[in-house]
Amino acid sequence: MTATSAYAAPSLSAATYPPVQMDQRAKHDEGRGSHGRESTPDGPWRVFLSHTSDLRDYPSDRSFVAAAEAAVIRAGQAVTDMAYFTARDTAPADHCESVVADASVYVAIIGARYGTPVRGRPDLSYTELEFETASALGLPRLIFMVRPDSTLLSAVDQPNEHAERQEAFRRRLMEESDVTVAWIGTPSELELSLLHSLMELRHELSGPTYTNNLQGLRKERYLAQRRVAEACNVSLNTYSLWERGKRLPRPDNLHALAKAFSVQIDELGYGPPSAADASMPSSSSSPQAGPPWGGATIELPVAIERSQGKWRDVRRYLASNGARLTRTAADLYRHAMKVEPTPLLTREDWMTAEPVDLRRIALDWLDGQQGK
Amino acid sequence: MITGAEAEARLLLPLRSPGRQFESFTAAVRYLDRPTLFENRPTFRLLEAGLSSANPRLRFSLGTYFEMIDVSQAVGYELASAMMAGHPLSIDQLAFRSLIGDPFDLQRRPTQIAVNALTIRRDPRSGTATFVLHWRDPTKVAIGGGLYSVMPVGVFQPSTVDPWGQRVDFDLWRNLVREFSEEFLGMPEHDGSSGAQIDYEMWPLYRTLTSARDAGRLRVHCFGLGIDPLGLGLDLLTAVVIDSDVFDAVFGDLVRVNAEGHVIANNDPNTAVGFPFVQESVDRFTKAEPMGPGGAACLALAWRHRHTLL
Repeated sequence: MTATSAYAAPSLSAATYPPVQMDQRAKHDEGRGSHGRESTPDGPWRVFLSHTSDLRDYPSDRSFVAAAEAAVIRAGQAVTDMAYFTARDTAPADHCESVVADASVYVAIIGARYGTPVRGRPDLSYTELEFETASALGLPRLIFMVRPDSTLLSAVDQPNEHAERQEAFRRRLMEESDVTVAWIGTPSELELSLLHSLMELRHELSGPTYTNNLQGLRKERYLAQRRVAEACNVSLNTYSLWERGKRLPRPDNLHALAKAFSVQIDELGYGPPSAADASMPSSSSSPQAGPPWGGATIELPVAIERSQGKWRDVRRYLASNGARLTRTAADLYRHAMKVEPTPLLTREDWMTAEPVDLRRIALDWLDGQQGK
Repeated sequence: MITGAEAEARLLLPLRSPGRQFESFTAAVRYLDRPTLFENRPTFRLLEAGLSSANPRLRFSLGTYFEMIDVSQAVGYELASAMMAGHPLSIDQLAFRSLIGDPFDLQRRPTQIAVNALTIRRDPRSGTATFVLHWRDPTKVAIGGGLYSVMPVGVFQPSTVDPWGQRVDFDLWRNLVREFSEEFLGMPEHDGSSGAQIDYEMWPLYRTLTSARDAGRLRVHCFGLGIDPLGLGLDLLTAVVIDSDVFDAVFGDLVRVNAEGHVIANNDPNTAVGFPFVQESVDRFTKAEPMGPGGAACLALAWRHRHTLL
C-alpha cells in the first residue's frame, strides 16, 4: 500500500518541456517575491510541486504527482528541478530552501502522510519546510488538499505523532491567509483544478499593471516589503503584487497603506486606468486571450463572474435596503442639519423660512466658458 | 472634480475582462444591470444655491446625467458593500466618500437636482386634502428604486439636445409640467433625447396648468434644497397644491402604472384620490414606510406649513 522507495524521475522530451534558464532571476536585495516571473514575462514559470513521496506512485495507474505534472505542462509552464525529489528526503534544509527559491510558483499536494522529518530538524517535515520557504519568499502558493473522505487515501501507515502533526499542518494551511486551497479527491480532479489555478494566476500576473508609487514611498522610508505587508495585515505575496501593480488594494487596504507611509491616499499614486482599458468589449465575459495550447477546455472568466456576481449582490442589497442605508449614510454626517424627521441633509441657506412660490426663485446661468 | 474614475471609485467596479474593471459605474450598470430607463441626457448642473434670502436663487451650468450617476451610484455602492461586509462605518472607512468630502461643496462633484413635488388635491368646499404617492420600481429606475416617493419627481433637465431648446427648458415650472404629463398621465416622456423643441404655448396640458396657476387654483411652493445622504443627490423640495376641480379635470385619468413604477393613489371610487393629508398618514410615510428622503422631506415640510398651503 505504501510504496515509498520506487521513485523514478519522469522522462520528459525537450518538445513538451520548454527549456528553462537557471539564471533568470533578477538580483534584487529585496523583493524576493519577484523571482523569475518579472525578469522573464514570456518564459515559462518554474512550478515547484511539493508532496510526500507516496503521492508520486499512488494511485498506481496514474499518481497525484503525475497528474499535477501534466497540468503544469498543459498550462505551458515547467516543473522545477525534478532531480531534487530523488534525494530530497535526506537533503539538508538549506538545499531544499535553495531549490524552492528557484521556483516562481509553489504548489503543494497535501495528503494524509506527514512524511520524513528534515535532516537535523526532527520537528519539521520536508513538505512543511518547503511551504515555509515559499511563504518567506512570497511565492504564489497553491495548495491542493486531498479530501479526508477520499477512498484513495485510506490507511496510511505512520506513527500517531506524525498523523497529529499532519492534521495540524492541514489545519494551518486552511487558516493561512492569501493561500489558495482547493480540495481534490482524485488525480484527474487535481489536474483540472491545478490547470485552472495556473491559468487564473497567469491572468492575474499578466493582466494590466496598476501604476502606483508604493515602491518609491517604501524606499524613501527604508522599509522592507514585509514591514509594510505586516502594517497592512496582508501577506508579503499580496503586498508584492500591489507594489508591482498586479493587484489592486481594496479600499480598507488603501487606508492602511496611506497610514503605513503617513501620506494621503492620493499620494499612493494610483492613477487613471491605462488607455488599453478604455475600450469596451461587446461581451463582458469574453476572455482576452485564448490559452496557450489553443483549446478551450477550461472556462477562464471565473474571476470575472465572481466579481460581477458580487457587484450584483451589493446592488440588490442596495435596492432592497435603501431606507436603512440612507439612515446609516445620514449618521455619517453627524454635524449636518437634517430636514427632521427625515435623513435628508440640508443647511440654513438652502431652506426657505416660509414656503416660497416657485416663480420667485431666480435661475442664473453660468457657462463653464464664461466663468464668474 | 470628482468623476468616479479615481482609484477609490474604481475599486468599487466589477471586472469586465480578466484583470480589467469597467471604467465607470454607468458602463457597468449598462452592461450588467440595466434598468428600463437608463439613457445619458443633458442635465442642468447646480453650482450654487441660496434660498433663505429675500431673493432666492439657483445657479446652473450644463452637465450630463451619467456624470452624476457615476459618482452617486459609486458612493452608494461603497456604503452598501461596507454594510454587507459588516465593517464598522465611519467616513474614514469609505475611501470614495472621504474623497468627495463636504457634501455641500457643489464644485467638488457633478450635481443635478431632482425636483420633488408632493401633489396635494385640495377640496375647498370640504376643507380636506389628499396626496398621491408613487412606488418606484427598482427594475425601471436607476435611482430610488424600492422606495415610495412623492410624485411627480423629475431631474431638472432639457427636453431636447437642441442647444436653443435647452434655454427654453431652463425653467422649473416647465420641467414640472413635463413630469406631470409623464407620471400622472403616462404620456411619453419628453426625455431630452428628441431633437425637437417643445412648443409649450401650444401644448394643451401646459396651457391648462399654467392658467390654473395664474388663477391661483394651482400653487407651487418651494421649501428648500436637500441632499440624499446615500448617493449625495440633490432634491429640490416642493409641494403642488391643486384645487379639486382642476385636479379632477386634468388628472381624472390618473394612471396606475407608469414608466417608473406604480402610482399609489388609494383609488377607492367612493373617496377622493390619494391618501388623506392628515397627521396619521404623514407620520406613516415619513417615519414607518420606506420612503426616499426627498419625498419624505416634502411631506414633512408640507405638513409643517399646512396652514400656509391649504
